[in-house]
Amino acid sequence: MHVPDGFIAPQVFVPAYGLVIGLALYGFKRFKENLNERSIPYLATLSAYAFVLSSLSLPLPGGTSVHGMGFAPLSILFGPWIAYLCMCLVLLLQAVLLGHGGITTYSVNTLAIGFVGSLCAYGVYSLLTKKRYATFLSGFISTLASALFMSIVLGIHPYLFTDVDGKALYFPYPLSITITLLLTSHIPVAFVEGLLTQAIVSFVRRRGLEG
Amino acid sequence: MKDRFLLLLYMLALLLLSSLSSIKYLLLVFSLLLLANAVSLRSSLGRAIRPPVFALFTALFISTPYALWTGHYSYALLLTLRVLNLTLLTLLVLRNTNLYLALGFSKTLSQLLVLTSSHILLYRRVFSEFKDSLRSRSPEGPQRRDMINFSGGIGLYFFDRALRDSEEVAKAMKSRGFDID
Repeated sequence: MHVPDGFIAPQVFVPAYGLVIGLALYGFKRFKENLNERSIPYLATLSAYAFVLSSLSLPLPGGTSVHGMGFAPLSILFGPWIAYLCMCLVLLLQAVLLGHGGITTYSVNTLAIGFVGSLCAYGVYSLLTKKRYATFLSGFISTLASALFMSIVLGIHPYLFTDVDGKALYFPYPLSITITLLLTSHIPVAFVEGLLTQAIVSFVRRRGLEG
Repeated sequence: MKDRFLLLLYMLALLLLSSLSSIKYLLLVFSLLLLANAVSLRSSLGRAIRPPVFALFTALFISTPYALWTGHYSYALLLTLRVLNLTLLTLLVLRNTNLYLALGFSKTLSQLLVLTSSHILLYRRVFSEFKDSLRSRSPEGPQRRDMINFSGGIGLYFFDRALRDSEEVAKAMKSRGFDID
């Protein structure tokens, strides 16, 4: 799902950076309040897990790529704000180490995967906490939610940023294409993400390693 | 301090390059960035050239259908040049900046960044080694069932190992003064 550099307008990614930094500061405050020293290694481990998982991607014609993301286990085990902070780190390392996603698009990628994804994963899990498939559904629905967010951000570009001839200046495809393509392609990914979330959360809880 | 200053300059340059829509200026910047990156692209051809080549293919992959569909052929050039410029600039800055110093605003963040990076390296190396060992044990190539069993086993193995290692690294860092601030 990572959008590469050059496709997002500065009018979109600059305010998004402001939002990402503001949310990160808040998340960092929560991080210091809620976690003890022993929890930091687990947080780092799950961040690394998310990194590896989301490094495996397939390019798509709509301008993005398909892969697992790994934010749902972080969100369920440590809470959405800590998961968001972790994803800020993971996405940054991906952008600079692997070239997955760009620096200009980092803010939008972080909002979609880190914020919308983590918050949705936690929300779904909290709502369905007593249900048998709460963990699976948390991973599944949150993956689709971040794909939807990203498709909306990309899809509004041709309506907002064109030159006098009507030529697109940034991402060229409209909402109808981005929503259809991203949501459809993310259904199998969301299924895998749900299974992985269920496996990781059960494993960590069985070992009593929660933060 | 130098690293943070470079990072700030880089962010401003990214903003400027993203705002440019003139192909003439984008070509000029592209020539300059190509010259600035020439040494590293030549000396470490395999690794350094991969991101710009990937960026080029991505830009063409997305812009070509649109250009052919609408007849706005210059869009393909505009997008490709912008994507290449941003990628080359990032390569140039990353080569001259220590990311851990530039982003280490607090000790806790530094600790998390170092731990996460070390685990990423661990995960990738272990996975690669186990994959090679599976291949070497299967002369005719592993079956799908073998791959599923292998993935499950290796997943649990390196997750478990990384948990233990991360705690050791955290203790080691703490003993060297990396406390939570």
